[in-house]
Amino acid sequence: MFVIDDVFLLPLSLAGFEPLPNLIMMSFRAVHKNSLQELYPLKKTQNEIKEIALLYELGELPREEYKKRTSELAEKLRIAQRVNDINIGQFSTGLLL
Amino acid sequence: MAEYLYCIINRTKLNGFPEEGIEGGRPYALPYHDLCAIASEVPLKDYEPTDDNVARHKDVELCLLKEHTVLPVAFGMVFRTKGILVNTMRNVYPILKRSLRLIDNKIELGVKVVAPKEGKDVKEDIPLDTGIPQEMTQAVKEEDFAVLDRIVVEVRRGELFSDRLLYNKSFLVDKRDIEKFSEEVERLGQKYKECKIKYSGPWPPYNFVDIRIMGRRR
Repeated sequence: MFVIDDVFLLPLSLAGFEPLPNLIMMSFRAVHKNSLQELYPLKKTQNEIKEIALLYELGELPREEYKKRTSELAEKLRIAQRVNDINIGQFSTGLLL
Repeated sequence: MAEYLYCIINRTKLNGFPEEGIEGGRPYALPYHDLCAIASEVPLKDYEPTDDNVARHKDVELCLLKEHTVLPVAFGMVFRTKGILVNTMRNVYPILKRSLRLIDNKIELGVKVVAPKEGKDVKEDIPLDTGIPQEMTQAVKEEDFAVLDRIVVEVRRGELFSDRLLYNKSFLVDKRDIEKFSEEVERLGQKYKECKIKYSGPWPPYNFVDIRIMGRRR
């Protein structure tokens, strides 16, 4: 990160392209967020919770198994919601808009 | 202490009032003009939609649904004081009145059709326009399910969140038509014996109104 921040982006900053480093950091954050979203997919987890509730109601899933899986998925959902809330940042000026 | 809001009903004599709400608080009616907010005192915090919390929220609404038209409020609405809650009701009064008129004497019923546990994945054949799998429409006329749409006031198509879920709809039904609707669902159940039909309700019209008025909410 030192290389990217202080060496690689220095010429751009000196040349007066302040928004560019921001843009690059935003891209890194976006890639990071996308990776986390693949690990903790919000919609898929929500659907899994609904599915096991349905199977439990239909009598196809024992209570213990339902409880166990609900608990695991609730934790996964909590992380997925936090990942979804990650703010990848905004442009600091209107130059690149 | 803060106020947790469950639902809004018309101001009237309250029958079958629920005894316990979120965090064990006793629900009460807070009147504003011809409406009542059903709330209970709770510690001021964000409430997680755990099974227990959601069940308590629903139980309060279901208890009132027996005798009243219930305008459900989204889970987790907490107000710092009764004054803020009354003030909020004042601000959204016309919307609450209009919503209550739309759902007056109506309840929500749900129908899901679930494919058998074993066997071919029939969901791939679902035509987008009907939400009913082709195999089912080929074996039984689509009209069989459309009969439900004709009985009710309004229909909402639910998401097919499982590979085995073939049909998922919520219906806003006039209370006078519940029996007729139930008979049709039973008839469909006889016809689709190979599938499991999950018929649920009556519920407050969760899928037909979405009240999220100020307050704290996760």
